[in-house]
Amino acid sequence: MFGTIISGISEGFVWAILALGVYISFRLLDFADLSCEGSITLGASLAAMLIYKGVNPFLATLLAFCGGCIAGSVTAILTTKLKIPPILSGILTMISLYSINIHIMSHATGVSGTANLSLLTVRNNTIYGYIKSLIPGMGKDDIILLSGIVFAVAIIGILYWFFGTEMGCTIRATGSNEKMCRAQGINTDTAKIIGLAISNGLIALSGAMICQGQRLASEVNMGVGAIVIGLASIIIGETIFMKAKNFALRLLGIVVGSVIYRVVVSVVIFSGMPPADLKLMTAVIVLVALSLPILKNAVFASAKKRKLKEEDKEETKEVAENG
Amino acid sequence: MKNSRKVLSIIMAALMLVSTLAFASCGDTAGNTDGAYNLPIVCGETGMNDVCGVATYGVNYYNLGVAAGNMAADILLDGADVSAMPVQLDPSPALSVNTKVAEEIGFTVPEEIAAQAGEGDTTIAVTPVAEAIVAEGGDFTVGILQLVQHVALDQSNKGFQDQLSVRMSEAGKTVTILDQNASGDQANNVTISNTFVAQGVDLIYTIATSSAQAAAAATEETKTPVLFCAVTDPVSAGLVDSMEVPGGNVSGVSDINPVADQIDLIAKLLGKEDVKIGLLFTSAETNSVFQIGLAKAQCEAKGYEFVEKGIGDINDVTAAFTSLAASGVDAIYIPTDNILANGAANIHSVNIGG
Repeated sequence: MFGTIISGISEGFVWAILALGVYISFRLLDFADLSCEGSITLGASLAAMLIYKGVNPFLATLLAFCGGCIAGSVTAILTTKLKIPPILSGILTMISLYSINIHIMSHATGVSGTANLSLLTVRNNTIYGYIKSLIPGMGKDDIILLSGIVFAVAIIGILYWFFGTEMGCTIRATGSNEKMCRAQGINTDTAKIIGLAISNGLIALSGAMICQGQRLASEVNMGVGAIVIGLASIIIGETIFMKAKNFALRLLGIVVGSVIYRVVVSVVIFSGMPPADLKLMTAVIVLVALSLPILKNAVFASAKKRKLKEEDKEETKEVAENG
Repeated sequence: MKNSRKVLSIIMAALMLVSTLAFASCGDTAGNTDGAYNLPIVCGETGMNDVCGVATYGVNYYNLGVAAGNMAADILLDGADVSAMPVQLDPSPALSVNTKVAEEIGFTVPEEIAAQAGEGDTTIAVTPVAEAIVAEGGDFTVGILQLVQHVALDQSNKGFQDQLSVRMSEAGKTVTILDQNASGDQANNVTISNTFVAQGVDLIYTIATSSAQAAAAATEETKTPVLFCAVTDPVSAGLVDSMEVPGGNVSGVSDINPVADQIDLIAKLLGKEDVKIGLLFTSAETNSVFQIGLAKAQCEAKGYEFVEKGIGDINDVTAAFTSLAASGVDAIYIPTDNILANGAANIHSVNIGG
């Protein structure tokens, strides 16, 4: 069980980067962006292809981030300039990325229709292999966990700074009240494009890290279910950090939410539950997380009522006693 | 505004021209009714055989599981070295005959082959020993990681467990099996592999490529033996150095179609040894080229004559048939790849001159 939890924690930190990306589009911009499932694979394929071709892994990861930014801007342009509804724009980007990802991976192997690009043979040229060669004493799992934490903290720092700048505030304001923003003379289209670019860039970055770390391969279907992981992490994080007003704390909450989600899923997998019920169980976890705030309120409310009633009774008692 | 309209109309005109040309080139294929070739075709897989072939061997996923079960038993009981265990193929592929196509092209399938196919089931008979598999505290612990619920993959899982139980009971040992399924979610591949490693299992059996890759990545340091099943090309998946000598802690059973058996089948179908085989394949698909390499090797080993004909896309089929027929081939072998599998009906209509 201990091993399962450790594995869940280190996966959680890598998926947290995706969750932060989804948070920007879903919460800050109030934009249900489905291109996520395509851009995570885009990040993985780009990084895998570049590493396969012998590019420095850090540069490859950075370029994967840029690739994600482009994908995000495409979705945003479809919505803002061509007035396609957000969900449809996301779907369009997602399905086109399916083909693009296959082309990217085919470029590495020279075989048309490559849907799976393995990094097992070039594992020392990944970011983790690179860090491992710098710190020889450490195991691979420790490196993945440690660099996951470092990356997550660094990204929280950068996002905290960015969303405090004028540009960042514009993006947040656009998500809160678009009409008001327009009335103030803010170009909400630009805000959306930049916001979605960063969002998908982060998602692609997490894809690049996942494919270099625990999987050592990029697969065209690896993005399936990514949006669920992202949303579940956000909701769990928000439920736990409900009272947090500070933006950095809220971002931290998402990282914690992602870790909790992966740990819970890992424990569920190993609780001896029939494999066919896994998805149902995942849905139940998300459902519980979603309804927690309401349940919490209900419990608090009834407790408060009881307390009031008791106080009431005591008062009447006192009144009765005192005559 | 006026300018952009002009540009748009030019683009539209260009598009129309391109599509007209494309249709015209399609018409070449459809319009060819010169005559029938009526060559017996042996295809790479049973799906294609049902459309355009006369007979072929297909992979049985239960058998693949049995082969992997034997490998696992060799590793656990006899301490065999995974890095030196060659990747195996289906030990008993299933023969299927397509009498409808045979009739259409006027080809008589020899009695004994038709009878073999009539026997149908080539699944290796294994009687599992339930007592050899214990829920907890067995002599060995084996983790099974299957990517997704799927008939073929389930068969590979069952064949493995059945055969492993037989080998374990023969040796008087017991095994604990941790059977996990990622339910199609690749994030779970990683979770399950890492947990198997943390639990210190003696062997991991993975079904499907991405599951095998996740397990290979997770066992980088512990070097826990990993066996795979239902992986078509383990070399390009990065799982093994070569089919003969895997070189690492990973080996297993490939589900590639039994090309050598299929080539031999051609000679059996024709009832003679001095056969001339036309090899029709898609030159742009490595998968196809890879299988043709195996086919040529088998032809050379058996002394069969062969003529290669690579095509770019399905529209080249007519030309390829004409050229192969002109060089006097007795039969045609077609490996399986996406283009050829999708074009099976097209190939059949060219063959019968429809």
